[in-house]
Amino acid sequence: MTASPPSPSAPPPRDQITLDELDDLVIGAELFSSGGGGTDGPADSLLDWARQALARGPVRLLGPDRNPGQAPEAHADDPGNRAQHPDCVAVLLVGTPTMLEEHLPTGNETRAAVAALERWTGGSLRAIAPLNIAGVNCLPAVITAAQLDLPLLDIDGMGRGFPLVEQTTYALDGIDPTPLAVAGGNGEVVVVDQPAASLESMLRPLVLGCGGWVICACYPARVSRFLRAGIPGSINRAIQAGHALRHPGDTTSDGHALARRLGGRLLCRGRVVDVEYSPDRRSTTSHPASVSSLVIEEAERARRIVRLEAHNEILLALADGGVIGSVPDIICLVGQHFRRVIDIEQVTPGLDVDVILLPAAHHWHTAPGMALAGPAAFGLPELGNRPCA
Amino acid sequence: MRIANPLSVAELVRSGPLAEARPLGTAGLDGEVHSVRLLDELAPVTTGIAHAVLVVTERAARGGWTVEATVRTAWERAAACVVIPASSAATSTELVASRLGVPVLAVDRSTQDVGLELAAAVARPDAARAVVTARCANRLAEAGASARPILGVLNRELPGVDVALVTPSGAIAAGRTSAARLWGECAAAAATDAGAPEATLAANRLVSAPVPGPGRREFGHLVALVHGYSTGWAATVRGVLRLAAGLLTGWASTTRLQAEREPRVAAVTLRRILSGIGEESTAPVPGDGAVSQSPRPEDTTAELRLASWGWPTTGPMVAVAVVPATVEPAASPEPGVAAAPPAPGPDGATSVIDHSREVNAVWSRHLTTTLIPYADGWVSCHAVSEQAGFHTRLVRQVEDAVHELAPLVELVAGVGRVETGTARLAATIRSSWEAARDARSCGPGAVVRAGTLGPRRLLAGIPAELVGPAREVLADVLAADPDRVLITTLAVVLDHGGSVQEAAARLGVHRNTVTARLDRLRSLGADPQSPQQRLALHLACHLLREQPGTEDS
Repeated sequence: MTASPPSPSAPPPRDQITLDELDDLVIGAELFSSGGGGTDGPADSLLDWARQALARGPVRLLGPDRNPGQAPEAHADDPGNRAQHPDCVAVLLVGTPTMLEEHLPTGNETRAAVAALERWTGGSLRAIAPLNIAGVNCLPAVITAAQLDLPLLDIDGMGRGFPLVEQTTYALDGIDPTPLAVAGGNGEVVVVDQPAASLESMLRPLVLGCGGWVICACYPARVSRFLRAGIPGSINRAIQAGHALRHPGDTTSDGHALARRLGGRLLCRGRVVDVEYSPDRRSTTSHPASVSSLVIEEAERARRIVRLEAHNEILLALADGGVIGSVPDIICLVGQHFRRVIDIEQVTPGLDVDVILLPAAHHWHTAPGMALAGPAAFGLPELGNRPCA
Repeated sequence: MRIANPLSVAELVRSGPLAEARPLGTAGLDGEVHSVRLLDELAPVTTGIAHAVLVVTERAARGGWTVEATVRTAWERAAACVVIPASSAATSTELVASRLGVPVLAVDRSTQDVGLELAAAVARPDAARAVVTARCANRLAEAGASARPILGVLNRELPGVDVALVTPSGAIAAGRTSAARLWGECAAAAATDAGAPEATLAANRLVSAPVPGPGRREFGHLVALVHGYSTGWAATVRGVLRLAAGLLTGWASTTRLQAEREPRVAAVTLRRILSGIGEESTAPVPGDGAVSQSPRPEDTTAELRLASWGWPTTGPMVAVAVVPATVEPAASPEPGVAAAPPAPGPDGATSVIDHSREVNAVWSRHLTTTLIPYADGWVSCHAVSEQAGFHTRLVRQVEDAVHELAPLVELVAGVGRVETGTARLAATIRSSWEAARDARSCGPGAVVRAGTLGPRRLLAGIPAELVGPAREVLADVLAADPDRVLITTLAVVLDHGGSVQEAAARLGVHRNTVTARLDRLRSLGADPQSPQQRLALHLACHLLREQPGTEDS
C-alpha cells in the first residue's frame, strides 16, 4: 500500500499504543472500513473494553521494518506454519458491534479464545496480529495484546474491511485460517478445525448461537510468517489517518488536500441526492450483505452524477455510469464540514461529502488477490477502472 | 448485415414497440437503430453495439449502477438507446441519461418480450413504417377535410416530426412553427420563389409536399421537420404528407366555394379577421340584416382562411377593391367613424351579394384570388411580387375582369397601397377602397391606383348628398331640357374653360349652335361666363353627370 506522505503535523511512527493513541486509531480505522462499520454508538462497549485494557499499560508494536530485534524469529526461515508450533494468532470480532451493546462482554473472551487455540495447536503465543484494520475491528487485537501482555504486530490482513474471514493477505500467503477458536459472552468456547472453503457456512450459525458476536482467534502461524504476509504499518497508518481527520487544519475546505494527506485521491466532492436500499438483492452474492446505493451530485468540475454501490462496504464508484473506483481499493466518505468518516448507514440526502479513494495494498492487485477480493468476488463484473470525464 | 433505411429511435419510441415505454431523457432520439442486443448478464459488452438497442433484462438489471454502467457503455460505444425494466429506473438514471445524451426507455413489460418485438421491427423497417402510414391514413380519414385537425393528426401520429402548413408566401397557416421557420430560412437562402432545392431540404431534415389549390392556384406546402431523419423515414413522411395534401386541397376548394356561395358568411369572416388583426372595421356588411341569421364562420385561424381565399398572409401585399361604377360607396371605414349607408338603388348592397357568385366566376378567370364582399363592393388581396411590371400586370388583369363583367354590372376598381403583413391588411384594403371611389370619377371600367388621381381626388371626394342641391341649382335648366342637350353643353363649355370653339369640337356641332345654346342657358339663369356662377355651375354639372341619365353623350 502506498504510504502516506509525511505531513508537518503527522505524528511520528509509534512503537506502542497507549490510551493517547486510541482515539486517533479508532477514528483513522473508520477510514479503512470503506463506508461500513462506523463507531457511532454501537462500538461504545468495545471502545470501553479497549480503554480498560490499555489502562493496564501500553501495547508494544512490532513490525518488519521496526524493532526487528524484538521480534523473535522475525526474519528466520520458516517454510510452513505446521512445521513449528504457531506463536502468533490473528484476533478479531465476528458478528455485529450492535449485538455487543445488547450482550455485553465479560472481558475474558479474548483470553478464552486464545487459550483454546493454544491448547489445540500446542503452541505458546508470543505476539498478536490484527485481522483487519477497518473500524472497530482493529480493537480486539489491541485488547487481546493488552490483556495478555503480548506485543501487537503492526500489520493487518486486509488493509481495509472485507466481509469474510478468509479474505486476507494471510490467506493469500498460504496461512490457513483454521483451526480457529471462538469465545462468546456466555462462556462458550468452540474450536473449529475444518477446511477453510466451508468456514463461512460454519462460522455464521456459530456466531448466532453465541448471541450475535464472538471473539475469534485464527490464522495460527509463526510471527515471521505474519510479518511477511501482512500489510505492514497498518496500525500506525490508522493512527496517522485519525490524527489527520481530528486535526484537519486547512484541509476542511480542500478535499484534494485531505485526500493527499491520507494517501489517496479525491473522487468527488458533492451532495448526496439519493439513497437507495435493495433488501431484495441480499442473496445475489455469496456474501452476507446489505445492498445500498448512494447517488451524489458533484458540486464542482463537470457536476457528474456519482453512484456508490455498497454491499456493507462501498464496492464500486461510478461517475456518469463510468467506473472511477472499485474494490479492492478503499472508497470512503468524509463529511465536508466535520471531517469525520461517514458510515453508509448514516448517509441521508442533503449531506455534503468528499468521496476519497485510498489504493489497496499491492497484495490485492495481484491475480490471486483480485480473485479473492476483487469485484468478481462480490458478484460484480470486471468493469475496469477508467478515467472519467 | 446492414439494414437499408433503418428505423430511428424516435420511430420506435413514438410508434413502435417502445410506444408505451417511459423515456428517461429525450436526447439522442435521432439515432439510427441497426440491431438489438439483449444483455442478460452483468458482463460488460464492448463490441457490436454501435447503433444497437441495448435491452437490459431483469436478471442483469441489478440496481441503478448496472443501468448507469450500461448507459455509459452505450454512450462510449455509440449505441442507439438503452431499454431497462421500469423497476430499475432511478432518479439518477434520468440524470445520467440526460447528461450523456443517451435515450433510456423504461418498460413495464418483460424486457425479453420487448426485445423480441424490437428485433422484429428493426429487421423490417419498411413493415414498421407501413404500419405508421396505414394508421395515419385512418386517422386522417377520421379527421375529415379540415385543415387544423389534419395538421393535428400529422403532428400526433408521425413520431419525431414537426409538420406545418405554409402558404405560398412562406407564412405558417397551421401546425408547428419550427418546421415553418426552417422552411422559410431554406427558401430565403435559396432566394427563389420555387423554394429550396430538395438536397437543401434534406440537409436541413425537411420533407415537403405541395398542396394544390383550386384552379391554377398553389395553396401552399406541407412541410415536415424530421428529427430522426433517415432516407427511408423521410420517404414515409413524404408519403403521409401527400395523403394529407389531397385532403387539404379538398378543404381549400370547399372553403373557397363557401366564400363564393355564401358571400354573407365570407363578409362576416373578413370583418372578424380585420377586427382580430387590430383594426376594427366599421364598413357595413352587405345585407347586414341577414348576418345574424347567417351561419357562423368556421372556427379557423385567420391565416388559414386568408390562405383558402388565395390571399397572402405575410410579406408585401396589395388590396384591390371593386365597386359598382354608379353607386357611391359608403364612407371610408375609418375606425370609430360611422359609415355612410350605401346608396339605395338597383345596384345597392343587396345586389352586390347577389352578384358575388357570378363576379367571382369571372374574376377567377383573370386573377388567382377570391373577391370577398366588403361595404357595397368586393375586395381581394394579392401578394406583391418583386418582378418588374407587377403593378402594370395587376391593373391590366383587373381591367380585363371588370370589362368582362360590364354586361352584368358596371364596375370600377381601385388598387390600394402596398403594405406588409396581415397587420396592415386593413390599411391596404382601405386605400384600395378609396381608390375605387376615385375611379368612379373616371367612368365605368376604370381602374385607379391609390394616390394617382392628383387634384381630381377632390372631386371624387364630393359627397353624394350634394346631388340634390345640384338639381336645385339647375332646376330651371333641367325642367326645360328633357333630352339633356343644354346641361351637357353647359358642362362641356365649362370643362373647356368657356371656349365655344373647343366645346363645339368636343360636342361635334357648329360653334353657332353652341352659342345659341349658351344664350338659351342664360335665359334660364345659368351663365357660364359669370364669375359668380361659374364654379357652382361646374360643380353641379359634375355631380349630375355622375348620375344615371346625365352622362355626357
